[in-house]
Amino acid sequence: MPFFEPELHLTEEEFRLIRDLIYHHCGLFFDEDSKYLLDRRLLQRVTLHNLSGFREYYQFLKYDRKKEQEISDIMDLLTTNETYFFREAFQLRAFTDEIVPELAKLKQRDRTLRIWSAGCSTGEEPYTIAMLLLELGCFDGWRIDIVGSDISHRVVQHARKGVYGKASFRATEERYIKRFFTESEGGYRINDEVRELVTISQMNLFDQNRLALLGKMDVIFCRNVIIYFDETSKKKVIEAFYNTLRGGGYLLLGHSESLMNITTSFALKHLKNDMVYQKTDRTSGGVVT
Amino acid sequence: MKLGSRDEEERRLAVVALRSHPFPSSTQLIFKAMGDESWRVRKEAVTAVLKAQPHEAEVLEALIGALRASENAGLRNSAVEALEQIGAAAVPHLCAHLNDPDPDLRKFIIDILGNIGCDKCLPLLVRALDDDDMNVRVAAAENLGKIGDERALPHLLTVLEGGEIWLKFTVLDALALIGAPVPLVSLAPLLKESLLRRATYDCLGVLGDAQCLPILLQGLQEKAKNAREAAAMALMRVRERLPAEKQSALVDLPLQRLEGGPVAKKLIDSLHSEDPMVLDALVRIVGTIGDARAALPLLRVCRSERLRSVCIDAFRRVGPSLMPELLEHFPTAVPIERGVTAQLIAEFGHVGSEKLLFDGLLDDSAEVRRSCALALGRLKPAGAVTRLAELLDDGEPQVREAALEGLRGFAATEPATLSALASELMHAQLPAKRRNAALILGALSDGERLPPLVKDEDASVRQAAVSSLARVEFPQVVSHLALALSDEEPEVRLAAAHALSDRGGPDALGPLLLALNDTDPWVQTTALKGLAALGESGALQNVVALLDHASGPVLIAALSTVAALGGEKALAPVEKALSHGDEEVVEAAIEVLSGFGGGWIAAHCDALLAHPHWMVRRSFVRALAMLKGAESVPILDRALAGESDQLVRDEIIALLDRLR
Repeated sequence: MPFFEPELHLTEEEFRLIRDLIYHHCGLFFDEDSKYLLDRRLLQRVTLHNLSGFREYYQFLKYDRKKEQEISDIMDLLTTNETYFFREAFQLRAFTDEIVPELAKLKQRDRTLRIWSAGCSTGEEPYTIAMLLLELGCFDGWRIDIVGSDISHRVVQHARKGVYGKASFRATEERYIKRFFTESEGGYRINDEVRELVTISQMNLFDQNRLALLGKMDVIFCRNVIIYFDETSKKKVIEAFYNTLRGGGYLLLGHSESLMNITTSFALKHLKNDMVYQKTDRTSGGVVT
Repeated sequence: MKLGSRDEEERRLAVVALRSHPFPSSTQLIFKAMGDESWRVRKEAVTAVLKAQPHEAEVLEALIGALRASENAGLRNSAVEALEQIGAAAVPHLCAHLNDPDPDLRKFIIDILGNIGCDKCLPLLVRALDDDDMNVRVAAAENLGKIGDERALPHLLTVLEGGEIWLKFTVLDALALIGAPVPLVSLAPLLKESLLRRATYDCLGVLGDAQCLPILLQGLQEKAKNAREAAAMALMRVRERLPAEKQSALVDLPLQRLEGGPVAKKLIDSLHSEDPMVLDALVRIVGTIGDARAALPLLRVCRSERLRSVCIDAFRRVGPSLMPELLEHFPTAVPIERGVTAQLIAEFGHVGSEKLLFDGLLDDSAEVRRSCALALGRLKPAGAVTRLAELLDDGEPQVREAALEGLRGFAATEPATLSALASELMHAQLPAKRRNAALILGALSDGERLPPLVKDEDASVRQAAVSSLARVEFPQVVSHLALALSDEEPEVRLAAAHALSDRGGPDALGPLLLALNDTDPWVQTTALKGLAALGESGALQNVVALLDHASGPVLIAALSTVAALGGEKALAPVEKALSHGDEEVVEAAIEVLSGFGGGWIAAHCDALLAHPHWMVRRSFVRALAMLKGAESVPILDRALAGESDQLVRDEIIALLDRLR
C-alpha cells in the first residue's frame, strides 16, 4: 500500500482512453488540466483491483461485469459533492412564493405534485424541497413525490441514510432543525415526515432507460450539475429534462447556468425572486444544433 | 414580439422568429439585433447569420463593415464571431481589406484570420509585420504564432533584430507557439532587455536544447520573480528532453552546487507561487539542489494533491537533514503535512519519532492515522502490534487497511504476537475480522489455520484465505485452490486463479485448464495468463479452442497465450484478430505479432492506417517504425498526410524525426 505517491503514472494515451470512456458513459468531460486528478485518484482503484496499470484498468472499466458500479465509484473520487440545506435561497423563494402557488392551483384536480432533484448529491436539496412544502402546509391529501437522484453510489447511500453534520446546516434556520431533525449518530437525522416525501435513486443522466422510469415531473431542480458537461452533453441532458417535464413545468438551474446556445425549448420566465425556465407551448422547441 | 421591445427575452424571441423567414428579407433586422445591448439577443442574431450559409458577397462585406462600428462594441464583437465561424468562405473578402486605411479594421481582420487558422493568407500577415500601425504589427505577429506555419519563422526572426520591444515580446510568444527550432544566437541577445527576459526564457523552454542550459542556469539568479520562475520552468522543460546521462551532468550537478547559497534561498522563497506549473518546476529544482532550508516550504506545497508526489521526491533527494525542522513543525501542521511527515519518518528510518507515530494513531484525521500505521509497520518498534490491532476497528476503511498492512510487516520480527492476534480474529463473529485473520495468517505462511477459512461462510473471508494460500507451502495447497475454483462467488474463483497462476508449477496446469471454462471472463483471463507463464505447450489446444467464442479481455489474453505457447507457427489466429471489431483486440494482436517480426505488416498496412480508432493507428505506426526502421518513412509520411488526430500526428512526427 503506497503512502501518497503514485507508483504508476497515467500516460497521455491512458488518460485519453479513460477520459473518453467516462465521457461517453455520463457526459462528464475532464480536460488536460484534470490529468493529475485522474492520475492520483484512479491509482487507488488500480491498486484496489490488483491490476498491473491504468491500461488494464481501462479494460476493466470497459469489460467488467461490475463496470457500472466501478464508474459510479470513480465518480465519487472525481467529482466534488459539496452541498447544503437551503442552498440558493433566492431560488427557493421563487419556488415557494411563485411556482408552488401556481402549480397548486393548476393541479388542484389531480392533487399530485412531482419534483425531481437531479444531481442531488448527499440529499440536502430534495429534503430541503420536502421541508419547504411541509412548511407551506397546503398540500394535505395531495400525493407529493420528490425524487433525488445522483450518479454517485456513495452520495446516494448518504442521502438515503439522511444523517447530516454541521456543514450541511450552514444556511438553515434553527426552526427547521427543531422541526425536521433528530440528533443522532454524531449528527442530525432527517425525520420520517420529510423522508416519506423523498425517494432517492442512483441515476446517470445519460441513461435513457432509467430516466424513463421517472415519469412526468412538474419541477426539475438541476443546480450546479451541467457545469461539468460539455456542450454536446448539456444538450443531451437538457433534452432529457424537456421530455421528463409536463407542459408548463419548470426547470431550475444553478445561478451560474443558462440554456443559452443549448436549447430554445424553454421560455425564460422572470419571476420576482429569480429567473427560471418553463416548458411552454409557445416555443417551437428543439435543442440547438 | 418586437426587436424594439424593452424586454430582453421578447427581443431574443423575435430574433428566433426571424430565423424562419428567408435570410435576405430579414438581414437588416438581424444585423440590427447583432448590435443589441443584450448579449443574449446578439448571440441569437449571430446564430441566425450562421444558419443562413452560404452567404452572398454583400452579406460578408456587410459583416466586415460592421467591424468599423467603433461606437458599438457589441455589434463589432458579433461580426467578429460570425466571420470567424463562417471561416474559409470569408477569407478572400477579409484579405481584400488588409490595406484599408482604418488600422482598427486591419487589426480586427488579422485577428479573425488568425482565429480561422488560414495559412493561405500567410504572406499578407507577414507583410503586416511592417504595417504603419503598432497594434496591427503586434496582431500580425500574434496571429502568425496562432497559425503555426514554420514558413513565418524567418520573418519573425527578422523582427527580433529590430527595436520594438512590445513587438519582440509578441514574436517570442509566436515562436514558442510555432515550436520549430530557432538558433540560440537569435534569442540570447534579447536577454539584455529586462522586459523581454520572461518571454525569452519561455521561448527557450519550448525550443531550446542543451546549448541554452548555461543561460537558463544563469537565469535562476534573475532578480525579477517572473523572469526567475520562467527560467526555472524552461530549465526543467529542456532537462526533460535530454538523455538521462546528460540530465545529471548538465543540470543536476550545477544545481547541487547552489546548495546553501543565496540563489537556492531565492528559489526556495519562490515556492510560495500559486501557479502549479511554476511550483512543479521549482520543487524539482529545489529537490535537486538538496537544501534543507526547503523543508517547510516544500511541506506547504504538499497540501496540493497535484504536487504532492513531486514534493515527496524532492524530500527524498534532500534527505534526512530536513527532519528536525519537520518534526518541530509537526504539532501545528495541517493533517496532510502530518501525514507526509509520518511517511518521511518511516522512509528515513528516523530514530526517536516512535512516540509521535503512536500518538498519530489517535489523530482526528484519518489520513494521519493511516500514514502513522504504515510508518509503524515499516519501522517496527516494540509495542506497535497491539496498537495497530486496535486500529483494525477504525471507522475509516483506509485506516483499517493500513493497520492490517502495518501488522503484516511484523510477520518476520514478531510472529508469536501476530499469531496470537490471528487466533483471536479467526474466531470473531464479524466477517471483516476473520478476513483480517486470513490475511495475517498468509503473512505468517501458516498452512495449518488457513484451510478452515477457505471454507468460511463469508465470501470476503474465503477470498482473502485463498489469496493467502498462494504464499503458503503445504501438501494440499493446490487441491484447496482447485476446489476454490468451484466457489459460487466469482471473486473467490478469481483469487484462486490468481493464486494458482502465482504459484505456477506442474500441479497448477490441470486446475488452470479447467478455469478456462469458467463463466467469469476475469477468471478465464487470469487462467490464460497463468498458462502463458507456465509455458506448457500441451495447453495450446485448449487455448486455441477458446479463441472461436472469446471476446474482450479473454480474447486479448488468449492471443498472447497462443503466441507464448505455440510461437511463430501458431500466429494465424492472431493475424486474423487484426480485423476484429474491438479496437482493444486489434491493438493486442499488433503487440503480439510485433514480437515475431514484420512479416504481417504489408498485408494489413492500409487497413490499419485507416482504422477508425486512434489508438490502433498509433500502435500500428509505432510497430511499423520499430520493425521496418528507415524503410517505413514513406509510409509514415503518407500516414501523416492523412491523419487528423493530434496525438497520432505527434507520434508520427516524433517517429519520423527519429528515423530521418
